[in-house]
Amino acid sequence: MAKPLTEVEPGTKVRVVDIVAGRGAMTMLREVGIVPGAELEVVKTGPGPVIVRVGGATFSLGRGLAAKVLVEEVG
Amino acid sequence: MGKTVALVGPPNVGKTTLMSRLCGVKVEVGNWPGVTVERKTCRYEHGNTTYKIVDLPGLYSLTGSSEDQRVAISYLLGGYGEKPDTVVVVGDPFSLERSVALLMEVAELGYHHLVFAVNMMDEARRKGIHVDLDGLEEKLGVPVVGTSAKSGEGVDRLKRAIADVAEGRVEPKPVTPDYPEPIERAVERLTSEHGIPRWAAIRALEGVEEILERLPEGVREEVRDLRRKVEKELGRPVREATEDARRETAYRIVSETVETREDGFELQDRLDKILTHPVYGTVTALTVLAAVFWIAFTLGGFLEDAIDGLLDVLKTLSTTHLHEPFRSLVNQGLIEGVGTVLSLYPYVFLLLLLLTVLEDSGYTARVAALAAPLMARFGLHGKTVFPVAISLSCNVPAVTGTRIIEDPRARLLSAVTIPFVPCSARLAVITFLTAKMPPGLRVPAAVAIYAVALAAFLGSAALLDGLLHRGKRSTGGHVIELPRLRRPHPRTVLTVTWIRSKEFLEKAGTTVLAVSLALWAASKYPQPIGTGRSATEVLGHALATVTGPVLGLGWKEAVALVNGIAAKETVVSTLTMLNAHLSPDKAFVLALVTTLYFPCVATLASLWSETGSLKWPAISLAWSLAVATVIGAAVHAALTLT
Repeated sequence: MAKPLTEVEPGTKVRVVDIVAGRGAMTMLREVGIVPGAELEVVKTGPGPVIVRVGGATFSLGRGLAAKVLVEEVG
Repeated sequence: MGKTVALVGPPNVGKTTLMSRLCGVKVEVGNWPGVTVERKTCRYEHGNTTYKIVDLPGLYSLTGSSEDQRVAISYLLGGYGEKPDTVVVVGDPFSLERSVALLMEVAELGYHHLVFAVNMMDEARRKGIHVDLDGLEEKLGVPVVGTSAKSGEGVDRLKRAIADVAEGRVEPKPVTPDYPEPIERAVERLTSEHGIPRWAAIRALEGVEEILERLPEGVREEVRDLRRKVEKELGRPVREATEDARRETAYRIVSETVETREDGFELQDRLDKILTHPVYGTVTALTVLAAVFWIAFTLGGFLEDAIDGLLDVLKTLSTTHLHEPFRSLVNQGLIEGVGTVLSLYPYVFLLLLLLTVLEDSGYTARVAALAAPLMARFGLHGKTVFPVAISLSCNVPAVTGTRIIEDPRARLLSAVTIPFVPCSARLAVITFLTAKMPPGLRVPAAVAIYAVALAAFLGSAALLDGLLHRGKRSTGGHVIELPRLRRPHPRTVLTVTWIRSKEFLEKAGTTVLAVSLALWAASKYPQPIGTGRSATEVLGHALATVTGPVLGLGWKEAVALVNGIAAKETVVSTLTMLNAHLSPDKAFVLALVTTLYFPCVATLASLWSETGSLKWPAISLAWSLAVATVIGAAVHAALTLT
């Protein structure tokens, strides 16, 4: 069951299912490896930017953008 | 014959530090940690050959969309008329996947002369991460060297590996990812029927313009057809499929060669939650900023006093031992002119040092992430925080530094308005002028001036954004990498601070000296100053007819402003040499006007080259003059009325 990144509990590992965003946003995300099928660790979803870890690197995402990334929990 | 080596890698893997290790810090142009923009080159000798290293901007992948990423891609495709003999792909054990993926992409551009350097090995070891370098070498098919730019470990081995590959003693066979069947079939068609190399065929199917351009029209048609068919079969764009394949292969290789302990990030994550929190994060940022300025001003004050003491001694010596015209030449031209500017160097050095410490520790990225929503309201990107931090030392690299912003709209906006952020030269003027105010008002006045400059910067961006893009909201949302929070490396910090700040000293010895000598001459001829007939007074009084009523500034200040066109620091020397006595009100207005009135010639030139048009530097110039006049006049009026 997919949900937006912003609704995930910090500390969870998720897999990206879909990204509902325009081309510009998708390019920014793709560049850092946030694409359907990618595995992320959610570090923070509290107030302010959302922080995730992809492939060993940590990224801050704007809330609006993060809400467009649909994920499902793994393991 | 010399060899060229290109350094490629994601940001924040210590690539630039590695570069300075290879060449021994003889790197051209300043390096800004975490914000690698511009092509930096250096040379070193190995065996009997000279190796030239070209450091390319940080790249996550060859599909990069920001300006500096396009530069790197263009370079690798031969767009700069140079093809490196060896390409070193740099990665770190903490995020090896993306460097491995990048390695495969570079290999697919046709580069087989590759070396893979895994940097930051010492930090990895400390965190309990183990990398099987031999296994990695076997699986990647290229020489792999573990390095630690901080300690120098592995640098010699890296030089040897580079030489081996450049001289052809070692012929790497880089690993290729397994692409889905439909793609492989299409690639096979293109390679066998048209003799296109495998790597070019893949790029062509992905739709890379630079490759497609070079194909004959008929072949291009066929490529387009094949691509349509393949994408229909796969149900997604070719580029997506190939990237996935590369990513999966990279993940597989890394999982088989790197052993990680998961808890490397615990402390960092806990800190990041606070640092990027809208309330706690902002409080922290403001506190840190306040501390930075407080330290720079108090410690700087002590050092300035020391230098002033030295200057007094020199003045006494020259007065006693020299005769005219040398005496006044030295006393005014050199000691008052250049010496006063030099005595402000401690402030410049300390501010830069502290800002560099923040950047090297990784904190600046957190501020950028925190400020992103606020910046967006003004049409700017969160990453603008990086060039703003640079702008506090000098506007010129800040303008080029805006290349890290992917969105062209936001990038243009930041480049054109960032000159409002006060640079070191203006810091010198502000420090000098606020010293003429009562002790209790000095710091608030300085803070107020910076605040006004910041407001001018943000306000101009918002205005320009509104004018250029009526009603259309820019695509919000940011993606900012947060490098590992770490203790700053003293060596890197000191080197970078020195490179950035020494320009202040160099300008003092050249432009400021020249202007001071010119002023000295203009104040002696045709008649000495005081008679009203020296060149300086004639010019000054003419200008004062305008600056007087509008800004409340007299002829000496007017001359200072004119000299400031050459270099803002000369405002300080001019006022000293002309013995200007400024009331606190006048000092404040002058400081404001100097801070805002226009970007220096170097910045305008930089704007011209970055935007490719004379329109923007012209607008920047006219706009700042207008803003400076209006604000200066308003403040002057307000102060006269109270």
